[in-house]
Amino acid sequence: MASLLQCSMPLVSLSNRALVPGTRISNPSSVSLSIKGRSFPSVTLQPRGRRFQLRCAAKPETVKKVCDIVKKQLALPDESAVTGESKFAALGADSLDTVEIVMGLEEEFGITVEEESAQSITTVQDAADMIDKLLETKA
Amino acid sequence: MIFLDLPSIHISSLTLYSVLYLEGAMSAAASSSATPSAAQVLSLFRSLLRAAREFPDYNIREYTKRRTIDSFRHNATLSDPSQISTAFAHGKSQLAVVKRQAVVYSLYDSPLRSVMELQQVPF
Repeated sequence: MASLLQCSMPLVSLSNRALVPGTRISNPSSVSLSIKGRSFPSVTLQPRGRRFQLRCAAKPETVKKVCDIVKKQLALPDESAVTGESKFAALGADSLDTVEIVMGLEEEFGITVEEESAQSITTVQDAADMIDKLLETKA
Repeated sequence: MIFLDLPSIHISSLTLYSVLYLEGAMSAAASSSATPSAAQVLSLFRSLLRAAREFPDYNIREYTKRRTIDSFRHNATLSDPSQISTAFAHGKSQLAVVKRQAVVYSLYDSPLRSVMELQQVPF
């Protein structure tokens, strides 16, 4: 704590308003306060998470097609529930299975998935989104 | 001495193949010292499956894919670093073979297609 106060720089004013003497700021997200020689724990300001997340959803038929390919690749029964949110790992796929799924999708849709992109695919929805994106750029 | 009756182009190609073979063996031996990462193994797996697609013949294409998948599944249980390195080096040499053979097969491609390649059964 002491080291934090020592290395921090005093602020004279913020938005034309004087701060309480002894208030020091080390970086924009951490504030330390000391009144009459008594120091208090530093307050860390954390950015709030985004409330709304925009997502470019894939076409339902693409998702369905991907689900069918995943079922076929992992030899899952027809009654097993595979949705857009299904993770490959949760369906019992290992890293080799994931590569096989991506290769199967490439053949089915006539696209080429880059190696970096292929590693980021973990769910059916991820795969469907990427396929739609690649098909758009291809067209 | 046996090659004297052969045309010069055959001698040069035979020499080239022997050099390529030796180079492949040397590079495999050199690369077997370092243990490959999981990403490298998956990259090799992907490359082999991609190379298998290049075969124009359905049977060879499917055989290569099946053989690749089975081999990787079989070697997935390996834990000894030297065995992993050896298997990886062998896989890399096989990738070179697959790429080379795919080119050769495409040069002598038959216009006939397998019945398995038809989208729907004609009967």
